[in-house]
Amino acid sequence: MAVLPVVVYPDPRLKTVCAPIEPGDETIRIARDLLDTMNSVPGVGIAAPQIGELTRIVLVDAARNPRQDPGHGLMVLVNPVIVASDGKQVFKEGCLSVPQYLARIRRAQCVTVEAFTPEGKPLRIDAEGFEAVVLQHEIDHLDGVLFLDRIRDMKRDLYERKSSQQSAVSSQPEDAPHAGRS
Amino acid sequence: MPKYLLITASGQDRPGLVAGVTEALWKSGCNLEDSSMTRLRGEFAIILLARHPDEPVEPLRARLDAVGAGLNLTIGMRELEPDEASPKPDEGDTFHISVYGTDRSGIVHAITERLAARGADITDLRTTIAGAPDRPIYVMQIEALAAPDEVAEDFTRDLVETGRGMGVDVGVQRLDPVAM
Repeated sequence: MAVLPVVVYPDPRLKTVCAPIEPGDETIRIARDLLDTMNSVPGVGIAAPQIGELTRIVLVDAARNPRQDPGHGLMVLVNPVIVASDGKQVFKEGCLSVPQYLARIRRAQCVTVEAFTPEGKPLRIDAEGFEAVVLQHEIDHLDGVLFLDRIRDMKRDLYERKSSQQSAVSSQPEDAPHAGRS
Repeated sequence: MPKYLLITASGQDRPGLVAGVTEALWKSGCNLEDSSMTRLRGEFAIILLARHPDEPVEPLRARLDAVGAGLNLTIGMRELEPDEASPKPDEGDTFHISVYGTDRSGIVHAITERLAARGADITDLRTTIAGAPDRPIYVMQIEALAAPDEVAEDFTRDLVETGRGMGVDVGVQRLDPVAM
């Protein structure tokens, strides 16, 4: 059991591409530290680099926000990969590692994520809405991408969201400006 | 005690406006605390909050006047009390309101009059004309901080009905910022 301090920007560990990790005792220990730390802060998700572990593990628990759909509740995801995404949504996000800043970010409305449990069991998760936002935010952390990297179109976000709902614009894969930097 | 200054500048857009204004600030030892700068068609407007060293502000004023004359900008400067310059805690919910429809006069007033009546504070507002040239549509986006005792359903219904009376569509969304 260890509640660790949350790493905050400009710590360079937040801009690092994290390495995959094998299931096993070390993975289980990091996942436990992530859970202990998340339990100590007002967050709905946390990624391993936020406690200084440069490995690909995230925790997501949409149910911690009583105003949003709880989705799947607490999920511990090792080496998560977004294998499919669809639609668009705009959400005002904040980050434990960038205190005192909020920004509207456009992300996919639905995502399918493949991952493993800390014990090595494969998982496939379909998420939408708020839970999909949290998944995308946390998985971005594993590539050294902060929500600050996702801000764009300062004047147009809201209007574009409306028009895409009305005309059911087919989804375009969200270009990930920093995801290929490894 | 540092001094806090609210500075506004506007004028016909051209490259170098921001660089010119911020050079004057930098030479006077100011830190730029918060700013919003945007272009409306061919005009550019700057609003910024600067922290000035505990010294007379006249040298800065002279520099800004020179920049304004050189770049044809209208520049204003007002000294704030320290508590005026500090960030304000948000006590109510923040809402996003999008209003859109066929262009007609009075839309902005009708919606913002309802917001004022409900005690909501507008924190950001943008309007533009979109649509095809022969069928223009008016689009307004508002971010507003509602009164602490506001009920989301009542707030939404009031604005949607006001919009209906004006023949425009209104979408209201409560922003629910969360840390991740």
